[in-house]
Amino acid sequence: MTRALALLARLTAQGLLSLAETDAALAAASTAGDPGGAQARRRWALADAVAECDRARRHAAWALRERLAPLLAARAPRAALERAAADPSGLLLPHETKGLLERQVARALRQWG
Amino acid sequence: MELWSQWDAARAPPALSAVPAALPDATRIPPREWLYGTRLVRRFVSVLAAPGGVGKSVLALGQAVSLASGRPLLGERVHHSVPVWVFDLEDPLEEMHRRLAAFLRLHLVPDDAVAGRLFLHSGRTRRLSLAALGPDGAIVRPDQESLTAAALAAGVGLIVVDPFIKSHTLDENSNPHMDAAATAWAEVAERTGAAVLLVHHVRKLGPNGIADVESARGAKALTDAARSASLLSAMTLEEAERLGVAPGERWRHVRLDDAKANLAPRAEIALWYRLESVGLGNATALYPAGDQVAAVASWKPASPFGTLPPADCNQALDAIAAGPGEGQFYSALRGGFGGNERWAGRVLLRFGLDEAQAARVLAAWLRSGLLVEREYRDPVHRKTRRGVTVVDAKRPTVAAEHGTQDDNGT
Repeated sequence: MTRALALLARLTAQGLLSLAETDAALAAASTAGDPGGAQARRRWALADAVAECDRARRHAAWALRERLAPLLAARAPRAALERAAADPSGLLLPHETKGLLERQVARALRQWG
Repeated sequence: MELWSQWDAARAPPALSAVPAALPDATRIPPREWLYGTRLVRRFVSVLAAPGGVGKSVLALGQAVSLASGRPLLGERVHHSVPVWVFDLEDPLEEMHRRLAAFLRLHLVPDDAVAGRLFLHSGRTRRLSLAALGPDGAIVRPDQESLTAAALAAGVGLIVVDPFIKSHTLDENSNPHMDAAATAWAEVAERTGAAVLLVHHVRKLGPNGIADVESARGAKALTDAARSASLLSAMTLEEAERLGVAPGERWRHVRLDDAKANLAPRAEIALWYRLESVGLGNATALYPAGDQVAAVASWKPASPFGTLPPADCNQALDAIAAGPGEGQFYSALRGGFGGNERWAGRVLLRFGLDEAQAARVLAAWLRSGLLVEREYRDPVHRKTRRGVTVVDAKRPTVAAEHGTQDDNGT
C-alpha cells in the first residue's frame, strides 16, 4: 500500500491525476464502510505524501535552475543546456523541464537586452 | 525570431570596457546611520546568534526596547531612537507581553516610554514567509511587499526577527538558499531604511564551550551576508571561577562577543549580561505565585581591586619587587620550587585578599604589563628560575587614589 500511495502521490503532484480521482480510487479499493477509519487514515497519508512530493518537485526545479544558471551566464550552446535540463530524479516531467529551460533562456535574453 | 535562434545570435558576449570610478568628495559622503552601538545600522542586516536557552530572545527584546525608548538600558549607546517591530515567530503574543512587562519592570521603564513605538507580532497569530520555493523552483518572497509597506507606514527603524529560521521555508543547509533568505531581509532593510536584526540558533559550541560564528546553525551564507554578527554564550566554568561567580549563579550570566563586524572595529572586551527573574505580580486564585519571567540586565564582573586601594597596591608591589630574599624574585605560579611560599599572591594575602582574589589581581597585573615574568639566577640555590619584576612606569598613580581603578589598580 505504501508504494501504491507513493505512486498515487507522485502522479497527483505531477498533475497527471486529480485529488478527486485519487480519492475515488481509494474509496473503490476500500471495503464497504470504514469502521476502523483506515480509509480516512489513507487519505491523510496521501495528502501528506502529495505535499512531500510537491516539495521535492520544487526542490528539483530549483536545482535545475541552479544547474542552468552558470551555463546561461557562460552562454553555453543549446545542446549543453538541453543535456543539463534533464531531471535525474524523474519528478519533473519532460515537458516541464523543457518549459523551465525555455523560460530561463528567454529571461537571460531579456536581461542581456 | 524563434527562441533558440535568438539564443545562438546572442551567444557572442559584448566586449568589456574599463570605466573610471567617479569618487565623490569624502566629506560629502553621508555617515553610516548607526542606531545601537556598533551592532545595528540602518539599511543593513545584523545577526544575533546563540545556542538554545541562553537568552537571545530576551536580549533581542531588550535591545528593541532600548531603541524604542531611547534609553541605553543595556549599556550600549542608543544613537537614535526609532520605532521597532518585533517578530516573535515561535511564541504566542501573551508570552511576548510577559517578557516585555518583565523587562520594563526590571529597568523601571514606564509603559508610555514605548507606547506607539513598539510593535509586536507573534508567528502563532500569522506566519511570516519572507522566502520560499515557488512551484517552478524559483525562490519567491510572499510577504516581502506587505511587510515593507507596513514597516514604511509605521516608520519602523528596526525589525527584529526571532528566530530567522521561522521566517522562511528554504533549505537551511544550502548556501544559495540561505543567501536568498538573507537577501530577502537585506532588501527589506534597503527599502524601508530600517536595521534588521535576525536572531539565529547556534548548532554547536566551539572549543571550550564558547560559540563562534562558524557554529551558526545551517549555511554560513547568513553570517556572511550580515554586516554585523554577535554571539551570545553562557558563562563557562572557568570564567565563573575567574570572575568570582558562584556555581549556582553561573547560568544567569551570558557574554556577548562581536563575531563579525564589517563596518566597525571589533570590540576588544565582551559585554556581560545577567538574566534576572522578575515577578509580574499577576497572581490568580489558581496560580497564587504568578509568573516569574526572565529579563536581561547589563552586568560587570566585580573588580579584583575592590578592597585594594592604590596605596595598598603600591605597598604590595614594593614587597613583590623586594622579593622573598636577596637577589630572589617571587613566582607568578603557585606550587613549583618553594611551593606557595614563593608565590607573589602570598604578598597580597597580607592586604586582606583571599587566594582567588589575589590570583585575579596577579593575572590582571601580568596582563597589563605591570608585572613581567623573566628568568634570573637564584644566588642562594645557584639555579636559573623564573620570577616576576615590577615595571615602575606602570604603577598606580597617586591621582588614582580618588578615581576608578583599571587593570593596574589605577
